[in-house]
Amino acid sequence: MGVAAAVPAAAQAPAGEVTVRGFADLGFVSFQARDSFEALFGSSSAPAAGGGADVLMPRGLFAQVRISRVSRTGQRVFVFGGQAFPLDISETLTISPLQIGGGLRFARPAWRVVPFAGGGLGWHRITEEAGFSDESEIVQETVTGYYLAGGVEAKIWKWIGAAGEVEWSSVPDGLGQDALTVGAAFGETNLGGFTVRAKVLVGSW
Amino acid sequence: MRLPRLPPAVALGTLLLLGNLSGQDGASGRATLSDISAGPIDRGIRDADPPTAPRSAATRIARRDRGGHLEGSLIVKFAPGASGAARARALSGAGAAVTATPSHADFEIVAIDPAADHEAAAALLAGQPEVEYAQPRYRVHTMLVPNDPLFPRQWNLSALGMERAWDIAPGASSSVVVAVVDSGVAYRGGLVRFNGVAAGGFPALGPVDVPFAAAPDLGGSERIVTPFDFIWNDPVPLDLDGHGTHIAGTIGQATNNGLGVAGIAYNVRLMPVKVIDGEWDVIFNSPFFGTDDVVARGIRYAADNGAEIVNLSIGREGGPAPAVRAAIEYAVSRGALVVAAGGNEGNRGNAANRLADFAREIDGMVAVGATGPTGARAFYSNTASYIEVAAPGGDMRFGTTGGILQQTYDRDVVDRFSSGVARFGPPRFDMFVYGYFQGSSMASAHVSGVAALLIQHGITRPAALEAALKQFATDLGPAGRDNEFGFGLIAPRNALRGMGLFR
Repeated sequence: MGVAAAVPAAAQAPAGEVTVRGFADLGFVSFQARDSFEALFGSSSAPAAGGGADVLMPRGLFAQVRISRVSRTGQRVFVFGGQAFPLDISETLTISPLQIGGGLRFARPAWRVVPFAGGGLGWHRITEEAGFSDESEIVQETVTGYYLAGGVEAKIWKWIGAAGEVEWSSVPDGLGQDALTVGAAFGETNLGGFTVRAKVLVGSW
Repeated sequence: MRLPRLPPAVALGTLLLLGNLSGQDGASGRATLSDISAGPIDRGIRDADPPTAPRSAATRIARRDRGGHLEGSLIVKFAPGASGAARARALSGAGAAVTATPSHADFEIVAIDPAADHEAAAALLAGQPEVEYAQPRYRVHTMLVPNDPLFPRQWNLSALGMERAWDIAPGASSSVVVAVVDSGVAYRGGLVRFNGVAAGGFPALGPVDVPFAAAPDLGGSERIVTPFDFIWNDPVPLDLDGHGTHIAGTIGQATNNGLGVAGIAYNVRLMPVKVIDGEWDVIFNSPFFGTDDVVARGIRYAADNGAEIVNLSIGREGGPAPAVRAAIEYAVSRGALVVAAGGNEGNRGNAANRLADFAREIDGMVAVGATGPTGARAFYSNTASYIEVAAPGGDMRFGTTGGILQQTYDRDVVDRFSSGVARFGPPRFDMFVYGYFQGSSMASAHVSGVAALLIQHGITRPAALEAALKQFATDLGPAGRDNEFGFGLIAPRNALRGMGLFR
């Protein structure tokens, strides 16, 4: 394949070899459900931390598994006519996506950085807990979505590298399914968002 | 300027009306002899009383009214900008004469021939370009379907899950003011001299000194704010009936005080606004009556004095009530939620409560139907397109204890007119019992109490309050809104908990 033939040895798994590396990342996610998150948490973006592993395969292919976590604390609201009335009841949301996907790394002999692009599926484990909740009112469920991501990576020193990545994700019908929720009040149903993150890569290059 | 010539009957009516409006009816009046009373007398729970017949307009002691409205006068709202000459022309065309503009009103009271067809006269006036609306002065009554036997349980509060709702919002706070626009409230003691006149076949009592006491379970006087009496035209809205006291209890009875019963929003301040004349107000010849204009003024007064909720556990049948509607719209525009009883005619022809039948058209006004202890619609509760939510109102077909329990006067010493002339005598308003009432009045009070909790919790706009009450209501009856329960039984805890991202 043309892509594989252009990749230098330093940035591409040797022909026929499969290598594994780990990574940790830190970033910010900006949710598509902007109004809902602003109403509940005062902001539609949140810091996100994660980590995972890449499996680098011949011909620039890679597979990836990543877990991450986003957590926000705010207060519950009542929404009427587009106005949110804060109710002074704490609301804690934790989203823990498990993403499995893959893509291609576009290495060139003259480039010190390697662009990459990929995508995959995400299973978003959600926990929503509010003040005065009883057991039956704690939400724990998983919703499914997909994502596309791309960025650049560079080797820094021996087996350590760094990467910058952007990700667009979509979780259709991930929220707003219950009529008495903020998402339904604002007509927002997608739990996805746009993420910018920095990664530290560790492993064989 | 030449004044129009009036028929003699209208001229006489004008004179009488002027006396009425100014509170100078020579035969009426009361004097506070002492602000100190001997204190309330608690007569316990009345859960074994024999059933009493429901009160209705037909059983009331008669006043100068006919067909449910006063004779000899109308409520008229002139169009903005109508000149004095144009007003006089419009009135003379209908054989009417303007008398005065009451306080807290944007309408006039005009005199007409008492023998005239009042509805026709109002229609004639309303057809004039200078007139925005005109209506008879319908008398308004409480929405209570009175009492019967017992149970010392407030099943109504459990039915709403109040215990868990209070976890979130324990009784609201004194920053929230709820106006009880009703028959007054037993909020203070004293000894008051009235002059009892002959009425309803009973002889004149003459001067009588009547003791009053504050309802012991309502809390101290610090809970009362800007009271006013539009029946006696003074700032002392003493309850001469007991209905308003019962309603005030459901809204805000002192709770966790080791005494008596609980109320829903037990920390709020209450604004007693008396607009309903009870039987004793009639016998003591109060200068004003519980007519639409008086109710409208009471609502406006409450809004002008900072009430955030106006509870209307009152109503009437008959023709439309534009004066009251305008007052309610005014109150909503001032930031007050108006909660109205849906009506008690469900088993007697289902005539609409004309003080509530426009509720669906006003964002910030809620009309309430009543449920009984089984959660079914109470037998008396109106079914109508204007019913928006339901709340416990009691249903004594399940026994006395199927009613709503609250503290109020001991009717044995109040209803001295109900057992014939031989037992007729002056009342006492210082003896209290815990008694069961039923009616959409009681249902309305529950909604007002819950709305107060919501206000304390952050939902402050009347329209938003209405939306919260409706959206979180537990659907009853056919799926979706229906004419029995509206959007369903109010669900205080769910409404207080509000919305999250997923639930």
